[in-house]
Parts: sequence; C-alpha cells; structure tokens
Amino acid sequence: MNRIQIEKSINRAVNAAPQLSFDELANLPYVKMAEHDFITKQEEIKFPAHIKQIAFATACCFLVMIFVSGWFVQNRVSDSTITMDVNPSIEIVTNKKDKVISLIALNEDARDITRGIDYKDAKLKDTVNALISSLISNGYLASDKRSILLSIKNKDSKKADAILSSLDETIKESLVSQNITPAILKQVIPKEKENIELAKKYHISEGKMKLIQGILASLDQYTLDMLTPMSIEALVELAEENSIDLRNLLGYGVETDDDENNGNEDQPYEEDNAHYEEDSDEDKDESESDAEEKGEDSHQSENSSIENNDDQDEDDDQDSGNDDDGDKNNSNEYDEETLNQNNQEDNKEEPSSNVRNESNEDNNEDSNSNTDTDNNEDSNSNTDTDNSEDGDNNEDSMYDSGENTESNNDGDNDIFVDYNSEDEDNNDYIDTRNQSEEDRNDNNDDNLTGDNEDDDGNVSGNEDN
Amino acid sequence: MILFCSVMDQPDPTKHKYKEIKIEESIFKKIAENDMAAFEKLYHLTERSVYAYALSILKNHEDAMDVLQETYLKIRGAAHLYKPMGKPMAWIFTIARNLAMSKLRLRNKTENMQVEDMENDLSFSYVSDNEDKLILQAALSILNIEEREIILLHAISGFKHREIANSLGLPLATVLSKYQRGLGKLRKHLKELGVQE
Repeated sequence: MNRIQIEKSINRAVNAAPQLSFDELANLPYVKMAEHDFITKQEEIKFPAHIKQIAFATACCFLVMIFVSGWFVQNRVSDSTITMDVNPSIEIVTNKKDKVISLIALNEDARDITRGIDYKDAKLKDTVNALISSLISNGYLASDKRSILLSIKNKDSKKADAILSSLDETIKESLVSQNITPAILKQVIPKEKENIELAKKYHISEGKMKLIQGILASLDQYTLDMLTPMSIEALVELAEENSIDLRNLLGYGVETDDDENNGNEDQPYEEDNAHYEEDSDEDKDESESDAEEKGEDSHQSENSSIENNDDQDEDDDQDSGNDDDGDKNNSNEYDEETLNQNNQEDNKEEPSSNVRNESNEDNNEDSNSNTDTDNNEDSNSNTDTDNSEDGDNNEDSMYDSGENTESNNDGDNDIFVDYNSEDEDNNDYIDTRNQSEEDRNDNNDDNLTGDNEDDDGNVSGNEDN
Repeated sequence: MILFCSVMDQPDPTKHKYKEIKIEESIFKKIAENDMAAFEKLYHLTERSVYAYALSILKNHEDAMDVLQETYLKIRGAAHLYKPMGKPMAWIFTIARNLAMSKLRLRNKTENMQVEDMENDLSFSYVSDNEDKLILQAALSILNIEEREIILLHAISGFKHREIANSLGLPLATVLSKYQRGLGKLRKHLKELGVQE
C-alpha cells in the first residue's frame, strides 16, 4: 500500500465522521474575552535556535570586525613614511601613534644597519636612535661624515613638520653625545609615482631621489647613475661646489629670515654649516689675511654675507651643536647692544659672557682666537674691509657667510656679535647706546637688505661707541 | 485535438483533491465585528483540519468534536484580540492544541477512561469502509502524537509540509522526517495486518 492510498483512506475515514452543524455552533453562547488566556494566547514568532545562534555569532563577528578595523587603522595603517639617507637609505613607516610599522633597508648598505633592530611597535624616536647608533658603529656617521637627509611623506603637513623637528632633535642629541655635530637636511616630499619608481630602480629613497633630481636640474654634466651611488655628504659637497642652493632645492628656500631665526626647529631644511666651518676655521687666518688683501673690494661681499644672516646663525649654532641657540638669536638684527657687548668682551679678551649661550661662546672664542692680531687693526679700520674678507671667504664654501661673520667679528666684532647675540642680551645694552632706536631699526633693516651705506653707518656708530 | 484536450483535462486519479485553505487575517476582524458570514466561511474552510488535528491528539471522536466546538467558540470570543502575524492557521491550531491538551490532562486526572473504552473509541463505527477504518485505527494506535498530527493534517487538509511546519511551529526537517517515519511504520504495520491494495 503506497503513501497516497494510505492518505486517501485516512481522508475518507476522517471525512466520514459526523460534522458539527454551523447553525448549532453559531447559536452557542460565547464569551467575548477581554484579553488572551493561555488557550488563545498567540505564540510569538520564535526563531529557531540555530538562527539565534547565527545572529548572535554574526553580531559578535561584526563587533569584532569593528574593533579590529579600528585597531588596524590606529596601529597597522601607515601614516608617515620617513626616509633617512646617509649613504645607507632606510625607510621607516609609522602609524598614527608614531610607532614603527616597518623598517625597510633600501640598499645593501642599509641592510647592515637595520639588521638586529627590533622596531616592531617601537617608538619612532627609539628606532631612529638605534639606527643612528648603528650608523655610527658601522662608520657611516663620524666627525667627518655628518650629513643626513631626512625626508617625510605625510598627508598632514603640520604633522610632517612636527615629526621632522622631533627627529631632528633626537638625531642631534644622539650624535652630539657621540661628539658628532650632524648636518641634517630635511624635506617633506609629496607622493609622486615617477619619483617612487625611480627611487626603487636605483635602490635609494624618494627623498634622496628628489635631492638628486634637484641637483641634476642645475648640473647637466651629471647623470642619475653618477649621483645615486653618492652619499648625502658627497651630494651636499657637490651642491656647494656648484653653488646650488639646497634650500630652494628642497622646497623650503622661500622661508623668511625671521622665520628661520625665530624657529630653527621648525625649519624643514636646516643645513649645518658647521662642518664647513671647521675647514674654514682652519683657514681662518688665511681667509682673514686674504680679506685684508682684498681690502675695500669687500663691500659687495658684506652685502652678500648679510643676506645669509641666518646661515651664519646656523653655522655658529651648529658649531656648538645647539639648535636652540639659533632660535634664540635674532641674527638679522644688527643690534648695537650686542656690538657693545662684543666690544666689551673683545676688550676683555673673554670669549663668552655669562648671558650668552654656548654657541655664542664658541663663536666668540673662534673669533677671538682667529683674530687676535686683527682685532686692533680691524677695530681701527673700516668695516668695509671686514666685508671684503667675507668676499674672500665666500670662495671657500657656499656657507662662507658664517665665516664672514667670524671674520667680521674678528675685525669689528660688530656683525659677528649681531648674529650670535640674543635679544635679551641685546636689550640689556639698550641704555648704553648712542644711537636712537629709530636709527637702530633703520640700520637693522638696512643690514637685512645689505645696504652698504647703512652698514657703514653702523660701523661708524660703533666706532663712536 | 478535442480528444487530446479532453484527455489532458482529465484529473490525475492518484492525486487528492483538497479545498485550498486560504485565510486572510482580516477575517478575524470581521468575526470580531460579529460577521457571521465570515465566521461560517472560516468554519467550513478549517473544520475538517481542526477536527483531524484534535483527533490526532485525543484519538477520540467525541472529545475531538468537543474540542472542535470549543475551538470555534474561542475563536469567536477572542477574534478581536487577534494580532496579525501572518499565520492565521497557526493560531487556530494553537487553540485546538491547548484545548485538546487540557482535555487530555483532565482525562488522566479523572482516570475514568478505561482501556476498553479507549478501544471502543477507536472503533469509528461511522466509517463504513473497513479498510479505511483499519488504516485510521492503525494510524492512531501505532504512531506517536507528532507523527499523527503531521500525517493526518497532510491527509485531511492537504497542507504542504512547509505549511504544516509553520502551523505547528516545527522545523521543516522535523516534519519531513516524522512524516516519512510515520508512513513507514504505518505501511509496515498494515503489511503485517495483511492489508493490501
């Protein structure tokens, strides 16, 4: 007997049962209920247990995904890409918390540097410190190899600048403790596909590629193949030799003098002239003697040196390895107070005053030591001759402005002190001035613009003092 | 052509003919408003299914008739309280089930029902066909309550397994497995009884 036959039989048997008459049913009394009882209570739609479990599991997964994605964005998504070039090129990728996600050696040299560094979830500063230590121990950074190119790629330019400044301090602290004064080039680089591809091709960082391309734009005789193997130190020297302004090259040459003076820490580009000054310091006597030979021809060089007041500040500051010194100095202003101060110091033959910072002390020491014989002569002579010394010094390096200031200091103490003296110090000497503030302001402005006549006026004022 | 069409129009003798039970939920609103036509329509559409369902639980015609009557009285008295949930038959079966279970509990407490009475209950004297009677008796005696509910509803109301699952609040897989298992048991029993086509 099949299923249908069974069902048919059951159907027939049930349908054979006597039915309740509807009329009878309709006439039966009924109670209209006020609310459902346990008989009529409608059962709520119950989802099967497995559906509930699936829904619960899905909700849990969703929550977990939200947390994981949030954690991922915070910790594993790259926020900044920092490249550090000496000769080894190293790329550091950080997350939003400035913790290192990855550390990539971009060339063979860098592999030795990054090997053994535990960078995962480490702070950027710690990683950079470790890298610097490794660079020193591997001989890439030394007293004669101090150029570092720091490049950063970040959508937020403010954050990029902040990170650069922070790293700049970190590196300087780390290197100064090793008696190495760093020369740090800094730049914020945009995201350019061509640049990225070229950098990958030559196994260098994007920052170094940008620097090289900038140099190549000015030097036709070189090619990428020639420059990419060169260290940052060599590239900087090449740029100097060919009078290439690295500031403009790195995109920060537009900065005003005030900006530079008031906030060296914030400068994206900060080339330490110190290491060039060392050479120039050695030749100071020579340059000074050259300056004397040049004599009055130095008017123009004075002007040019004045234009590079900031460079001079930086040079001086970096001699002492202290950036803050540079920030404190308003080197653009030719304050007579500081002139007086320097005069006093020179007369006392004491290289530094209590008020001055270390860099000033260094500079003064240098100036005094280098120009013991020149002080008297230069003090009696016109500052024009001092400026001519600048012109001679300019031949030595592109950062000769620093030397010029020193030679000026040696001569008159005027310009040098202006660069290195602090405003606060200068204010202490306001009462001792003979010139009015207006004159001073004029002189300052003129000095900034490199006006010869004003420079002369300053000097004459000092002479009066 | 006409012959072909006439052949095509002939109903399949192997298939049941069921009244399609299509109940709109708005019918309860009409019943609540004392619309007797709506109540009669509902009664005629569902009466046999409700009876079969009550019979599958109680295995007794008289009790099933009592439950049937009480079910429609409850529907009439609570129609205004009905909340549309997309399953009007489920509500009707819920009432019938609750009433039948109450009756079962009452029967067990009084213990008035003797085994012989039970046998008499399964006599179904109103069924004229002995084979049909035997099959119905076999279904009510050897199948468990869920198998009885499913097979009787499938046989009487023509509900599909999915509709039975929805109406009884059971998973479809359970309905299917219990239906097949129940039929298997029934066929085996009938075979042992010598009931053949």
